[in-house]
Amino acid sequence: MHAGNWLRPEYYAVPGKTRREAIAEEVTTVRQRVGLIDVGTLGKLEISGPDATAFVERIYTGRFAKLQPGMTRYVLMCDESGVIIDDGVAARLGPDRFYVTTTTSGSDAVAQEMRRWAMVWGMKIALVNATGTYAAMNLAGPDSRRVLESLTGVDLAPERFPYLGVRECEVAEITARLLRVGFVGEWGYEIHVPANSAVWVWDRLMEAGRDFGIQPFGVEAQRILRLEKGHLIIGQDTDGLTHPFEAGMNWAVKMDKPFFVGQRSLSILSKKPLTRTLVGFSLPGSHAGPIPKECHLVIDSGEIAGRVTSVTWSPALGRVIGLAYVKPEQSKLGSSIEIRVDRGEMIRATVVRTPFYDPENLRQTPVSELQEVS
Amino acid sequence: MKASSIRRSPVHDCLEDLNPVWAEVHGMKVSLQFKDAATESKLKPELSLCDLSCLPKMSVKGPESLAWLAQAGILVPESVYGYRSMADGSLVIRTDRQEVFVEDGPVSHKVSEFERELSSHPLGVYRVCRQDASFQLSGVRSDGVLRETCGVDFSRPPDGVVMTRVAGVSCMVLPLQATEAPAYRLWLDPSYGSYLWKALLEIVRDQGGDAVGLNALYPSFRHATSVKGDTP
Repeated sequence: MHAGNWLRPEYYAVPGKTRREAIAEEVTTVRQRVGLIDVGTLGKLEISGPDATAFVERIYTGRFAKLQPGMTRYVLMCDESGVIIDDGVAARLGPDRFYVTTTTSGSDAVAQEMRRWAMVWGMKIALVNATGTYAAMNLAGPDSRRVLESLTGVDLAPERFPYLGVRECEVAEITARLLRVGFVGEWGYEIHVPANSAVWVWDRLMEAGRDFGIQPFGVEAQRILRLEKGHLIIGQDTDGLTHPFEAGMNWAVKMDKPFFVGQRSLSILSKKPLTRTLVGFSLPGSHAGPIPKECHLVIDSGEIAGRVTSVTWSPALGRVIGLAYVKPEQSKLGSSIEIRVDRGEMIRATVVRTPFYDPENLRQTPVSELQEVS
Repeated sequence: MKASSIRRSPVHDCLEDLNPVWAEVHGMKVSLQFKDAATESKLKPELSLCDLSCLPKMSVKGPESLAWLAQAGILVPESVYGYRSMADGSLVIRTDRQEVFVEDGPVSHKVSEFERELSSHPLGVYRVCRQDASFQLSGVRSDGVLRETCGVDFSRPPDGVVMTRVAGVSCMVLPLQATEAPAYRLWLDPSYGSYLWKALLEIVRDQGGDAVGLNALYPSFRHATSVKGDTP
């Protein structure tokens, strides 16, 4: 399938299985064992120099000055009008070195914007768009740690390599950057390696995972997994006008920072009532009628109230789940919303809390800690 | 000790389709030749395309980068976009005021040495990993290939590299001096490697040329000690 300029595996066909069955099996593999997906299409930027931290603070809405080397943090980027334009993860590799990911297809525009701002602000940074330089793959699932530990000397024990950590190390003899992040909602590692060693590392991971029943998984399985976890895709769950407050991303915006791009506009918007808000919804497990599709409209009293941005059958929950923009007054948990599906038929959905899956983030918690609290 | 053939050319699959004689150079499987040596020797001065992605490369960037390279014995070209061919076959190109691109030759090992030294992150010097696809277009008719694919007029070659687009792909192009026939080195994002290789090879073949292996460019190279494998 096409993803911007890239061709990506939609799913891995299995003889004798339908497309839907193959995707469902990939999802199950990640939830119960371990899967591997190519995420090399993520944008990858290196920001170095004496002003690197101050620069990252100004570009993104979050706070990074106190982020310790060896740790990562979610990043959200807005334009000057406060509209969300990109997201990713910033990994602090050293006091003056950051490695930042962007959305697939977003790297050129983000790098260009960063260069422009660096000149405007006169900041001393070195910026490299390393998107094509590094391959990346996500090893995800409860067995991911056991697969990886046979290929690296890094201590993967969670107390020494915690959730959201980053390590520069070797994987399968190749210099790598390991990011312990969880886009699909399972224990996992993003493994970034020089592009010309990608096939080598991929093959070693598949070999090491054979005894654990590893399977490669494609973009469709990833979309289901991330939606179950309630993670947004910028550009799909947001549009050219979406600001963080209506997308429920207030937590990623630190309005009390001295400055970030879009802060002034967001300050004005924060004083105005919302006109729409992104909510999670679900259909009853017994629902047998047509299923909403992305861009189907939410209708309230005969008027357009919003639209569906993401929707899927959730194997983990056993029902259809999705994200949709609705009027703020419809956003209360338990509210009933109407969605107009194909041929004008109306179906009812319920507004529910996100993440749909693992809301307590227990999948990122070491088993030993789970036992202690249980 | 590292396993062999860990690195893989961005155009590996394209080369494999041409059924070459393989060898290993700098940990990468490379095409030594596609046809017999005499045929490839004749192609080179006329029109040929060769994949040189096996040559290790890196950039050194930052306010102290030039001083650091000077200490390492590298005389950086004075002008931006200037280049220097080193005695060991490596290449040094000044790509910006504070940025220098270094590429090894088939038997030199500067890049791995520099990478090791820069792993301590000296102040003001930043190592930039480079994984470019890299080709060489050679021969008296190579100008014609670039005329079809690039907006820059190479009939009056600039003295240094040109940042331009070839068949729509951003490339760094270096017209090589002091070669028997015109020759151009191209570096590009490896993600576009297969596309550009196929596009260029189609035009090269239309004009009577073809792909050649590493032996055609480095005739003395087949005896080099770093070459392992299925040599002709």
